[in-house]
Amino acid sequence: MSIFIYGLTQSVTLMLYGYGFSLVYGISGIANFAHGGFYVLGGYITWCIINLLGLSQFTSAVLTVLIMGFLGFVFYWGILLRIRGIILSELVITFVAGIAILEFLNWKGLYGFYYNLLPFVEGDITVGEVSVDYQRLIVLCSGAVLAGLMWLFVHHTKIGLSFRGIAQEERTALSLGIESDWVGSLSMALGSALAAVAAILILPLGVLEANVGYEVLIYAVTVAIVGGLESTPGMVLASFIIGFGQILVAEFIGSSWMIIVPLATIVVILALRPSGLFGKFKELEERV
Amino acid sequence: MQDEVILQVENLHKSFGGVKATVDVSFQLRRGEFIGIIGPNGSGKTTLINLITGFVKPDAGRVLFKGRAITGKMPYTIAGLGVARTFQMVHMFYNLPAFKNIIIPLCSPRVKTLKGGRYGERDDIAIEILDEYGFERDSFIPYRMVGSLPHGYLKRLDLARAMSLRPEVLLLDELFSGMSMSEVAATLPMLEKLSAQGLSMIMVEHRLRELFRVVSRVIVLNFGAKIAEGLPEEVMKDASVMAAYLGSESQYDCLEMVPSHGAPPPEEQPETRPEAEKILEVKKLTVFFENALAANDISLEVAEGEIVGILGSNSAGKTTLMNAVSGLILDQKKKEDRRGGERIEVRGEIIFRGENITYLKPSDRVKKGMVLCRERHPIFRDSTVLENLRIAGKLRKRLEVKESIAVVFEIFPHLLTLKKRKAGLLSGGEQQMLAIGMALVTRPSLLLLDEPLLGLSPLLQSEVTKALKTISGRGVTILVTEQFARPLIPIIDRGYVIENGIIVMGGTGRELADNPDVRASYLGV
Amino acid sequence: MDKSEKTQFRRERLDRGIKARTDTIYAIASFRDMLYLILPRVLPLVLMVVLPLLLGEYWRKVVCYAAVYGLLALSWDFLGAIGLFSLGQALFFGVGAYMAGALNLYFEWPIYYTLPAATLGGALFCTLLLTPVIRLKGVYFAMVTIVIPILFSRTIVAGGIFGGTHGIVNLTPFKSDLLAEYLILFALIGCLFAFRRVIGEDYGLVMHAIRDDDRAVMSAGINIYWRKVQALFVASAVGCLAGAFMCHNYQFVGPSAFSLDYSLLPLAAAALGGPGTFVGAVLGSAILIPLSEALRDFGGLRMVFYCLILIASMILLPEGIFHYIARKYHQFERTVKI
Repeated sequence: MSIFIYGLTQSVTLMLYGYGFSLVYGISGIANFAHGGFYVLGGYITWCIINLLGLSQFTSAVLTVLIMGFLGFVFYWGILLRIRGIILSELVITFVAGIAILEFLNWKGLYGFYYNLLPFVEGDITVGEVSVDYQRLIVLCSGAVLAGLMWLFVHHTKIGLSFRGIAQEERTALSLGIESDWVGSLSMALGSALAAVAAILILPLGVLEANVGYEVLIYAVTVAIVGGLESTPGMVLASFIIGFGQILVAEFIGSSWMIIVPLATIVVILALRPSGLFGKFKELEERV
Repeated sequence: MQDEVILQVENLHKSFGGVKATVDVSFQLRRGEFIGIIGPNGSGKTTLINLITGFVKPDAGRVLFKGRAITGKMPYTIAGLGVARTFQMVHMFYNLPAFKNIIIPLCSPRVKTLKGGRYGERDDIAIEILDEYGFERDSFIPYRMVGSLPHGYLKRLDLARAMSLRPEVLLLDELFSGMSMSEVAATLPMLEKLSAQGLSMIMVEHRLRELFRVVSRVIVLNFGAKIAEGLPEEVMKDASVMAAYLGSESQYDCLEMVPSHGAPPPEEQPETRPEAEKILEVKKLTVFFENALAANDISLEVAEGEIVGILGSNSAGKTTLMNAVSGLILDQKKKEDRRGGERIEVRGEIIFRGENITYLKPSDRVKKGMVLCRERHPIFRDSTVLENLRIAGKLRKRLEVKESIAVVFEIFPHLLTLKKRKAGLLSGGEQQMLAIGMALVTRPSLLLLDEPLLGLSPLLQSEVTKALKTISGRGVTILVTEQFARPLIPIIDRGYVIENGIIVMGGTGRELADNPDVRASYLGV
Repeated sequence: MDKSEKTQFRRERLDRGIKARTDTIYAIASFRDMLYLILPRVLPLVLMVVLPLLLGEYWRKVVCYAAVYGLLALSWDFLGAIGLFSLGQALFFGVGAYMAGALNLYFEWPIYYTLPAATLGGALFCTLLLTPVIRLKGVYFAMVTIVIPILFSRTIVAGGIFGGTHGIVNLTPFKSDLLAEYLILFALIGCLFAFRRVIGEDYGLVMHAIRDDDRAVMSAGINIYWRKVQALFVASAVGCLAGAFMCHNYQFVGPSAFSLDYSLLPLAAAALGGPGTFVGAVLGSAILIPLSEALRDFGGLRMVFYCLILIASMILLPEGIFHYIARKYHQFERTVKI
């Protein structure tokens, strides 16, 4: 039973890690490798607001999400805009920005057990014979709600639709009056806001450390690879496979071996189905 | 001449999503034959070529080359065996000189085994090959960057590239599309010579008159299936072919210029009302791409309610003109400046309803009521038809958008049945209709269209033309560019002719239609 | 009406006279023209021979590091030329280093065996590992190269294999420092000239063509995937060589061989110097490594610094320093009336 609960939580955690990354890619076509950096930055800002400004958890959370959204917007507008379309630069700059953020925070001292985000609700409840802390349950529910909201957003709101337009055919969208610059920035704002939300939900379960950012990036990228970059359902399925896989490994082999699961999954997927579980295999189709 | 069957296609099937692109197609190509494949757009001609050459894997069926199955093999394997093709959309390396494009096939294993394509020799071999296809050996042309060559040269370069593989079978996908009359006239003898030398060829084409001059047999496709096969004259008289392809109401006349497709007779054509307001004025527009002039001192005007046509062959400057008027060129310029690419300079003025909008962003121009429908079906392939229309309505209020979408479905009733279909799976004609519909959703007062009829069958061309007339009837001013402009002549009030970036002629629709040069170059007479 | 008739200006670039003159055989006639042509080619050779003799021990080590990173940057550039953008050069470095270390320790092979074995064996391993991703979109390659080095190092630590966190120590050093330095510099310059040669030949033409439009190349009868595998093999061999070298230079190899440093710096070097030029990669390393030594006191902040340099050069000078210099060398600009 505990395996089920922890497996579920781990899977939803991975899903939350991956959401911001895969959504930004699906909408703007940019793989945001700074995702891990945004995650930790979000956590750090929340910590600062709580501990240095003394505001309540809820207020800090809201403020952080807004701030991170703003930063994401500025990141796109100020930097990414200038190199859109140049594949190499797109890949490199986000990667490097993420490293810059994380190493800067490392240098400032964000390692060890000193920094900590407190859970929303202390205490736990017993499910079956297992005691599960409330925080984990909150993570679970929020994850599900978030997934639903995102789907609605992308398919039914004007902004969501224009996101998809820009992702597919930038010049056509332009000629229809959709400003790719604006839309792209909004999508990055959304992505970093999602990273912040994930951080606020999940960090209380662990420690606020700069190196966590690399973990998040690895997991986000892994679920994207395993599930298929363009497929959100694929990413969700991949999170569950890897999440449960990790918990099972931790239970039966040892918790230090958990990290093997992502690596093994990637190797297996690359060998059997390189484009991911639900990935559309790159077909050489030409239909004009 | 042997009667050996060199290429055999058996029961090919292919569906994309729910759309059946190829349905049980079978035929044979004998060695040395030159056959043609025709059909309306969306009939699966290009898919068929893709299936044969390995760019698309069939759902069922076989393709045999010299008796051996090549079904589903990789494109480079098939090319290596001796089956070459050209592309409808030219796939060239624009940043390379022309002859270097030929060197690439010369590096393939096939040529290495056929002839000593050794380092150093390849340059010479490439120049020699190009010479046979209209790139004079002693001129600058083989050394020019592909990006700077006129469109007709690009198509011949594609042909030369395919031939440098020394294939035994050559598949040509709409080689003549985008070529001017003179370019086609220059290319036909090359094809005849190749056929005389024993090359087995299959040619997909829309320009039937030219096609029928060179092929011995014709296959007709419609909605993915083969509906007729035989000699050109026989096939053209076949009732099902006429119904499907040519449209029962019109006469496809190869020999005479006849005002057709339900246009009002000339006497009833509206004249430009002299008091009509000028909705668009272009003054001395000049556009530089690095050191090359794409548009040179262009001035023109469009009055409210008119339909104005701009005739010109490819790389005459039509698209540059449209991009400048719509503002897209500013975006291009921004991107090139950022990445340090070629410098784009724009001079002159563009005035919309009396306002100077030369430096206005595209989105602001759309807000003011001017929208461009780019060439080649600018749609969002992964979204459904309805989503496409909704995306286009982003700048307008929700209610307005609903109304506009309803209007679009009125004008293009066929699109209504395709509401939930992924746009990428529509046929070319349907995609073009969707593209025009999307532009309409923005509620423009001036609609710019860049080559809306490109690649459409005569039947669809007339439908689109009729739709444009309806749209104009609703008060939208239209500025449309075209190369092969015959279907548009009946609806055009006034027109300009553009060549090498310069406006060389202007006049009413009738004046242009009567002008012998225009008729020869752009009206296919 | 008046405004549009004002004379307007435009900047244009023209080749310098000396470039046009030296394009022909008559360049031999003038000493100055010959110098113009030969200087850029001979300069690196001269530097390579001369530097180890001139500098003191500390700076000789720096030149060594610069050469190692230069090799990694060259490897990156080579992959980029065919359209494979790697964000994880550390993968090649680490695999090469561990292979050399393992062969040295467990099988007691001497250096002149481990180096070639690690280079080729490591290349084989990396190529096999990455081949499945080649058929997919470029971004997949980038993602996989980011993730795998980190996962490898975590696995080594978790499993305690190959020495775990502590790594493998007491490996055989080079016979002399000078030998090591000349070896790596020779490898660097050799690679540089070899790559530039290849790119200039038809093979390089095909590589660039694959990067620009792989469908067109496929229809020309060329197996693009095989070409990509070849490029991968060559590039990973170069990277593994760098790793194997460092392993013996330090006499140690640990999980840090997979660290981000080895992915980030070559990237920054190539981007700064000019992607696609190969000379830029070497130039970039020559600038960044001594710089990083000078900034040693700043600790972790150095990484931030490289990142900022990288971002700045990609935005402000995307063509890279080498192109900029070459342009100034070959062309001049002037304003012209329209």
